[in-house]
Amino acid sequence: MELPSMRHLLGLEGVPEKDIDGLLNLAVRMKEIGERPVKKVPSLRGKTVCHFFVEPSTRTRTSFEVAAKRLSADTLSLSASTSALKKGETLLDTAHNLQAMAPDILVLRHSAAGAPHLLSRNIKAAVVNAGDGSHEHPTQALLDMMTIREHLGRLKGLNVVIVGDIAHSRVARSNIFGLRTMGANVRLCGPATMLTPGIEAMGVDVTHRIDHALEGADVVMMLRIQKERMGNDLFPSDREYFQQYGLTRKRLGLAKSNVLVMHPGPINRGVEIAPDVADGAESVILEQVTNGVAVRMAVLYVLASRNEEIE
Amino acid sequence: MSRLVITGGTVLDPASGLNAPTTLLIENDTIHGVVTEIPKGWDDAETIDATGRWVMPGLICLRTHVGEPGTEWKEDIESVSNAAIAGGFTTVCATPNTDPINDVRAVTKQLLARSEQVNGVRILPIVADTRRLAGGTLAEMGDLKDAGCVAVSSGDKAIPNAQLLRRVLEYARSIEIPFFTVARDDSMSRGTVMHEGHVSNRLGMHAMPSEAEVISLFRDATISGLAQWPIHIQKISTRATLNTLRQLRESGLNVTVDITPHHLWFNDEVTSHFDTDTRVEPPLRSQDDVTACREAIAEGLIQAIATDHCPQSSVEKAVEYAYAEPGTTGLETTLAAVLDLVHQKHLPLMQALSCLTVGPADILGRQDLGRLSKGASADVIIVDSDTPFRAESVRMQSKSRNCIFEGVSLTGVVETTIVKGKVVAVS
Amino acid sequence: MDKNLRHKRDILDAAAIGRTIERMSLELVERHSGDSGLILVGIHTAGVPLAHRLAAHITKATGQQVDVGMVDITLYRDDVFIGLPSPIVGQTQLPFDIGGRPVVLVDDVLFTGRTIRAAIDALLDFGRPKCIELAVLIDRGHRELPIQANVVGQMIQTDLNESVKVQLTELDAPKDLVTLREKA
Repeated sequence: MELPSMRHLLGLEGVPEKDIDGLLNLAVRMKEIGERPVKKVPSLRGKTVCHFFVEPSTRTRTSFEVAAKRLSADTLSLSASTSALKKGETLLDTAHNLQAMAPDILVLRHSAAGAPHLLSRNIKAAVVNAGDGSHEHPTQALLDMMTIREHLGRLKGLNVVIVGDIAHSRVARSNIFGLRTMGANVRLCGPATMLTPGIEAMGVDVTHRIDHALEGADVVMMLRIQKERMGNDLFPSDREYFQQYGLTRKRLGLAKSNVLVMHPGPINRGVEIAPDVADGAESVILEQVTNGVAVRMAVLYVLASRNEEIE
Repeated sequence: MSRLVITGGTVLDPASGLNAPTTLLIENDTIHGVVTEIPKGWDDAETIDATGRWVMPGLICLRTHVGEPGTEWKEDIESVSNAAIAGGFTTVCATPNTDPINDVRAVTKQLLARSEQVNGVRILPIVADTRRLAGGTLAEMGDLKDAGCVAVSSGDKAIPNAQLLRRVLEYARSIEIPFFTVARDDSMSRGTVMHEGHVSNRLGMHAMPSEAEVISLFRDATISGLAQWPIHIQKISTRATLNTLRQLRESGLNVTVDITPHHLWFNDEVTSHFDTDTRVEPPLRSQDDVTACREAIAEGLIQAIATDHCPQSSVEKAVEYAYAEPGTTGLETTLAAVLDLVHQKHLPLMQALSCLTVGPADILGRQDLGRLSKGASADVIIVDSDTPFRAESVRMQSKSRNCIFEGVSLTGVVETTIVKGKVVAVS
Repeated sequence: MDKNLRHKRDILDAAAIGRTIERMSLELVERHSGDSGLILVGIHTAGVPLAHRLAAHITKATGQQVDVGMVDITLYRDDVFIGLPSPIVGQTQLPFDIGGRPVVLVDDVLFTGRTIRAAIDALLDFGRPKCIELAVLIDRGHRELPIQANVVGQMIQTDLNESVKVQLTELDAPKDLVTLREKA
């Protein structure tokens, strides 16, 4: 048996079941390293991982950096402001300049869908998509699936409900692709303004009523409502959102007794999720963060090995 | 006096329905006639042997971005003329959204002067509807028509409101100049990057539904009825648009439309790899829409195929998909793409060729173009209609490489291009 | 890879393996008679059941419990990214503090010594043991690093085109068997 062999991780669409399974299994091994006194293995020693976060993010970037360091890789960090993008340099020119430092892996977060794909065609490094616009965020979906499997033992046949602004959510999209590949049932819930027509063709159920959505759910994934979008044409207000779609203890009672409550973070308490639910026994939100490092270690390890074989 | 005989080939003239092995006679700069025997007195005429080839009217494009003035690095009059020659287009109409915009006589005059200097294909200027295409004060359409503009256009956008559209159409009626526009509701399409459908659901990109095109077409056709002046909508792309168009025409409204060759060929699946050559406006639609558009050509519901030749350099295209300028080149691939679709039995031959010749000529109101009738301008092309042609932008005349057909195998090569009775070669 | 190897001869049958392991365990008892807190750490994969068997024998002989752990060295290899497809990473489990305690690494076959080097690095990330020793069932020579085993089951001469295969019932083999194979 072998580890998954992939040149880049640009998304979970089209990634076969055995590769997702392989990554999740490897992530379990990587998680154990975080429990040791010396939280490091030498596997990526001498390799350089470059974190290029054109769209800023502290949490995801920190998670990737910790992952790289635990594998003994050297890390390099660029943001939109520290790069020359602000001065009008194109993304490709920035990437070609980065080539000079010969990174083995480039982790990119960008607000335009397809940006990692553009780089993957133009530079030698392996590319990890840390979020491209509203398109995909594959490592988030992998850590979500790892967390689910840890608690419920499997993914196949589980009822997973995703609630929120699906249309603009790369977390939702990657989870839909990944969970469907692994045989879970996915149900989406939100107002029609936050869902796109025909999304059922992705193999999901859709409902606008939170109580219908939560019935019999094994996992509830609440998406972050972005404040910038509120009060525009998508939704009237925070208060109304919480009223119509917020996850309260009462609503959670409709789900299965061992339901998991998940959230990619950061949480808007009192908007998408009630504070007592966020901190409740069903919540695995903090574990998602821990698993994030493990999953990213697994991804970096697999991509580093593949990269060498190409050369 | 000069005489030219083109003999041995099959002459196709969609205007008259002719599709037969005959001989074409050209005298000076006009068509003298189509004959089965070369008449007396013509024995000393220059002869072109077109054996095994098709002889047809030179193609006409109603929508080309000529690049000059303003974006000469992408294309200029000389390179666009060369591209047209290579692709069999003897007449191209220049969209007004140059820089500066064609809303003053000086720009029109420059275009015509440059065109004369290059001495290649016929380049016809189109005037902007409003100053700077800003949707405010009307442009001096009368003056520019006198200077040589053949149509008035709203450029790359629909007219912002119905009242302005009414005024523009009424004024165009007074001047008697054809009006071109595009159908795209601004509020639903602003910031969008692709077609709203299954593919955009998977890619999470900001997308525009078909309805944005439909409501714009409906509004414009209705106002056209009120202003009593025909309207020509460019670059339509969806089944829903065609359904609405059918009803509007049946109710007596004088609306014509054109379509690009890539909307007859590609569907939105090709955008999945984020290749910016697939970023076009309107966006590529679903396969069902492509099928409907092909059927509409056969039905005669679509009157013209326009290339929307839109050269872009790597500065505009080698960027993230959402930031890329839309557009693809088209002059050198359109005929081959259309002939390939005919070969694949997706389009009927004469209807398709009509859309490239007499169809656009009629929309311009030019009886002297797009046909091989006696007295018409001797714009003729000789085509090898069987030879496969692989589209490779590095070998093309256009300065720009953004070709949506890059690497695709098409059919048909233009061997000779004749403009006003003279064979023109790439300069 | 297995497909290119064919069986040459048997080296140890089940009975011989049993006797050898028992003898190895008595050697370990002798070496560590003054020590307390002995830990056996099996190297993935075959070293793990061997470590458990040795521990069982030691407990039977001394009446003392022996802690058994397991270590997977994939992440510590020096040849992780060269040529061969990446192997699956196995489980590492050392749920006790190894600081100040004698540790015996256990593996099935000692060959180039690189696996042991990696295992030592892995162990040292868990703490500072009193000492690290090595017990192997088979030593087949051809060392590429200065590594030696303290307790050896059987030493055999091998050629480089040969391979030693250790089959144990804990690893789904029908019976315990050590065989020598050669490239076809």
